[in-house]
Amino acid sequence: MSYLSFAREMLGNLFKPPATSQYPFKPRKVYEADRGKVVNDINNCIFCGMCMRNCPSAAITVDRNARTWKINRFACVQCKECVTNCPKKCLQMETEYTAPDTKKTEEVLQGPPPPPKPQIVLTEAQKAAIAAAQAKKAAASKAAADGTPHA
Amino acid sequence: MGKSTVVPFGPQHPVLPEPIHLDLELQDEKVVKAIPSIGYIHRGLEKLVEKRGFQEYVYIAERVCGICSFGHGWGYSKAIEGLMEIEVPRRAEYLRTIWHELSRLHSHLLWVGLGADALGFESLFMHAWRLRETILDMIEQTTGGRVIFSVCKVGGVRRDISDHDLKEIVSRLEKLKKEIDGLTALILNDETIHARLKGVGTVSFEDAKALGCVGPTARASGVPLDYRCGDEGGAYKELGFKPVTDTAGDCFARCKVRLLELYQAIDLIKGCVENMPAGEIAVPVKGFPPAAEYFTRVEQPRGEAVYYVKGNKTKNLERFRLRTPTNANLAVLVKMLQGCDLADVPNIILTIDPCISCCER
Repeated sequence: MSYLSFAREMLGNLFKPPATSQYPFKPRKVYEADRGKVVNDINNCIFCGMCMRNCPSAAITVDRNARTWKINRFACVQCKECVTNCPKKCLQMETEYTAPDTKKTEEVLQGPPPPPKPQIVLTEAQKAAIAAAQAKKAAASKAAADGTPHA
Repeated sequence: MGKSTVVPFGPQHPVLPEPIHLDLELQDEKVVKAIPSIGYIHRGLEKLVEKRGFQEYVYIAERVCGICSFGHGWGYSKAIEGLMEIEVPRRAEYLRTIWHELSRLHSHLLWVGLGADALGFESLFMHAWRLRETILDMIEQTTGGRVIFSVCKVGGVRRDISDHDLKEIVSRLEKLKKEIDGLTALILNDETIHARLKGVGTVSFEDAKALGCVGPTARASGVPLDYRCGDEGGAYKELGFKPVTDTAGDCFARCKVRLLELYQAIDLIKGCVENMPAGEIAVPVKGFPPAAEYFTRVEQPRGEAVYYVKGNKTKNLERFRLRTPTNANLAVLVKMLQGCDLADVPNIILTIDPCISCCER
């Protein structure tokens, strides 16, 4: 039994540095596992919508036709479910948190226009080969319709 | 006998971390009757189960409480795993045990701080919370979140802990244990704390059993009620768990049980790290929960929480029900407050470790 049993600890604390970190003068300690905010490498995004379907707080909206990827950062709960489910691995979790804001704004990322479909340029010889193959196929189907056995 | 007065206590009160309202009927300085009322922070989280997918709901279950968040996520996942007959890999169960015991450490250290603050011992409050900070750092390092871990999922866990991190946790807990020794010696031997807590808010063994209280409140009255003893989930069976109990049943005994549970949690984490099995951390979950019911329990830092789920062969569950430890302890709180001094009311309320946001969901 004792009185003032904490006095020693308290006096000791007078000569110790503060237990709290001196933020913002010193940067906060960041761990590799920290879940800060989601970032999207929009150039690799295929707008499949897997992130939108797996988001428990419905913070992500993906529009495949308009090629936009929207996130409401203040609705996001940083669960990392979208990053885990991204098939293209274009979503990443950064360790830095979203900066505070006065408005609940949505962040909209516009994807690049879709790449043009490849135009196939055929040489004369290739065109002739295709025509010959088509003629042969038509002849074979005609022969099958006439009931004559195929040679 | 003086005049009878009714003094309202809460929902906004300096000692209360969360809103609970009590009407205290006083005769002079003695409380004759206490009538609790809750309903200030009901969020309707149980109802949300009908709108969210059963796998997404884990993130909502975690948000039932800010202190025992991991336990709620685990309890919900355990209930779904039982419903769908999913066998969780052993490594996942060991990892869950580690995180659950880390959250017990942080919850009990937080409680020591709040209890000290209720006594007016502010420097002890700061000291306890400083120790808690090391636990929060360990949690952040291994899960990526400080309060909401988001690592538990149906079928296992979402993150593994590397061997290096496991060793680091053990070495940091060894250091923390020495600091907790100082904290425990101080609380258990200080004359002022004895004067405020001993013989205050006593609950007998019979009352504790009859009123169905749970957790450290029951264990301090000699009821060896701890779901970890018979828990099939987690690593408790392999580690030979035995509950900490006391017989006095007063505020001091409840305080002592929580302090001794800090050591127990450290030993459990060390046991998990030593016997950590290798292998998978999750199994894939296919299909939807069947049209059946299941109920399970988890020993939270505040006591036993009960989880009930009912599926209907769709993505959403039909019903989710959660009975939290504070809900069970409110009945015994009313009993404790009868006949106590008005000045002791904050201490008595704090020693059941009330978590009202859990209680109302």
